[in-house]
Amino acid sequence: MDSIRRHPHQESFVSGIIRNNPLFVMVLGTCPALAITTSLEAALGMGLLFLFVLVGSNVLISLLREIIPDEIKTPSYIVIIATFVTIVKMFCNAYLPALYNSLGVFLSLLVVNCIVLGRAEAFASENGVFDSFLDGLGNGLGYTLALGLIALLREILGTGYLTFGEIFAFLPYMRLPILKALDGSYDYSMSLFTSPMGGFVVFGLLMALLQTKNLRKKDAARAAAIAEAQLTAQEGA
Amino acid sequence: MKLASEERRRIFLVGGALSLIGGLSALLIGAANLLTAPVIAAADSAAQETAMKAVYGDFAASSDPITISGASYVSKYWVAFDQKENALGYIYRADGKNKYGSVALLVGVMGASESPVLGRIALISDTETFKEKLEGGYVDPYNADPTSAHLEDTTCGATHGAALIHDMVTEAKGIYDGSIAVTFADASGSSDAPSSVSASSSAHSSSGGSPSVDASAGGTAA
Amino acid sequence: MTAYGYFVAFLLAVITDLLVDNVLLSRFYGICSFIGVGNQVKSAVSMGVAVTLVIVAASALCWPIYYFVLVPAGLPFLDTLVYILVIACLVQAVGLFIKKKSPALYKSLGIYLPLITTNCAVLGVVQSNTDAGILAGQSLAENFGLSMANAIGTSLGYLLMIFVFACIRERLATYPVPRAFKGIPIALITAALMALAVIGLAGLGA
Repeated sequence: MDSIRRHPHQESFVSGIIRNNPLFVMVLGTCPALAITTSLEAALGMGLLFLFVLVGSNVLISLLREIIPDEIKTPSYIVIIATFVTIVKMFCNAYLPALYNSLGVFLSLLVVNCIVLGRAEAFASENGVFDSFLDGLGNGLGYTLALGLIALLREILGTGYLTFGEIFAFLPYMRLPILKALDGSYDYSMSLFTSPMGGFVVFGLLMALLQTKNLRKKDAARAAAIAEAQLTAQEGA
Repeated sequence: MKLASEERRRIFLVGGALSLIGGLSALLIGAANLLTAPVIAAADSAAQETAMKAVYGDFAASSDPITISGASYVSKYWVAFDQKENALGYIYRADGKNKYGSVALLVGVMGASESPVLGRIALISDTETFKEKLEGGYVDPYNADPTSAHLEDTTCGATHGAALIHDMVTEAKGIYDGSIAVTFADASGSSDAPSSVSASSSAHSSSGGSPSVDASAGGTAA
Repeated sequence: MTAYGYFVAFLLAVITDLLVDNVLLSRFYGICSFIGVGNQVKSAVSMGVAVTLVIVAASALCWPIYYFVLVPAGLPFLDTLVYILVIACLVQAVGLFIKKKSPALYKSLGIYLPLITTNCAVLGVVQSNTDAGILAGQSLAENFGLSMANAIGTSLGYLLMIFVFACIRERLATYPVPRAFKGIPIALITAALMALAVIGLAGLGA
């Protein structure tokens, strides 16, 4: 970790991906994580658009951070974020209409995504343009990976296939049969996972997994501290 | 009320920052709109043309849309023309919703107004939950042979969706033969009911002979 | 349709949006506040009441703005921007209103009030009301009626579910939950079971 601390720019990029993952660690931006993740392609598409919005608004807010007075800080941030969301909506409607139709209202809901506003207020309003750019990139990548993980599990367990090419038209249309055969000879999929309940369950179990890892680390640290205290007590006696 | 110069400076600063942000925002959105509006419009008209081609195989051009008000599903129709500017028939646009989703489709109707002949269905959007059963079990067999018998048989595993499509097509047919009273309004504002196009009943096969146009049908070939 | 018919249709739409297509458990708007509200029943209900006021007022304001200002001016793509600004102003106004009418409610809301601006449920309902456009054979007034029914049903559904959720979490806090699940994971599993209950109502009404 020392190598990362020596390069402060890298720090803002890397921390957003895993250590401070916006979805699993900070638990922000959960609405799309439950609604869009029935299809891996849609989730990755949403992550990509989220990345554009986050990077764009971070950079612009960082550029204007000296000029914006404190009284109108939050409304200005909201206007800037809404501008980028509108632009991304228009470009998505023009060049990726299948993604636009499948995301529906959640594309507009990026305006009130807690992550975008949170990073704007916590980071971009105080740091330089390049750092804000990297921060946006890191957090966007982390969020995309998190969405992709949930969507991967939900789509495979829920529909049995992994479908490509439906939303990103430039990909060839493929259906990978994983839990369900293309001709119906075997079918181990559980459609529970594509329902709303499945979204909550997958998200909850992943969070529990993460919490187990954290607890194990804490237990190990506590055991090490106790052992060390006992050792020093023995030496003192 | 005389404001202190410090307060006045503050207000100017806030107002200036607000207008700067507003202006920047308007600029960015305007630029994006200029770039994307033509692309979106072109994609929409291309999609519409593909759908109309699916209804009539010989489709080449259509008239301006004529709006219909007073119907539950049908909202407008066009007159379809082929390469030689002969009228192929009418294309009706219908939208419907049931508890499982919504369906939007184009359906062709042609022939004499007393005995209309049903044409094919082209689905524009289908958010029905049992989409695959609906399309594979009801729409595809109907399109292969657009007879009333296929329309009436709604057992396909997606009965609600099939019933919805059946109602929409029946309404289009009813508007065509005049049994359902609706008001028409074309782009020029005239509200005369255009007379139907008479076409030979074999015209719904894609290589049918070009039928003769009998009446003015409100619009030039687009 | 007679006046009675319109009334029944309105009521049916409200109940459908309240239970069947529940905003939190079926449409997934407003999840961030749902998870974050914790296990205090009082602050959860206060939040639900404030969100109700904001959603109803925002829908009543934004629908006319879209159809009578933005669409005639040829600027339908500015809807998101305009809506969020209207909502931000409304949250301030509703906050002042609550402060005057019921200082106790204002105090129990605490920091949750400004967070209502970023509540997906508010912008989600307002945006989805106008995204669908006018259906065939529907008048503007009917569309407005349906939008208001959507708004009222959504906000009541939010209030109901957040109240139930807070009550369950209050009880859960005293139960021996496995360490890995304490806190947010068990809350999500609870929400999953509530969502399962709501799935059972699918298909009621149109």
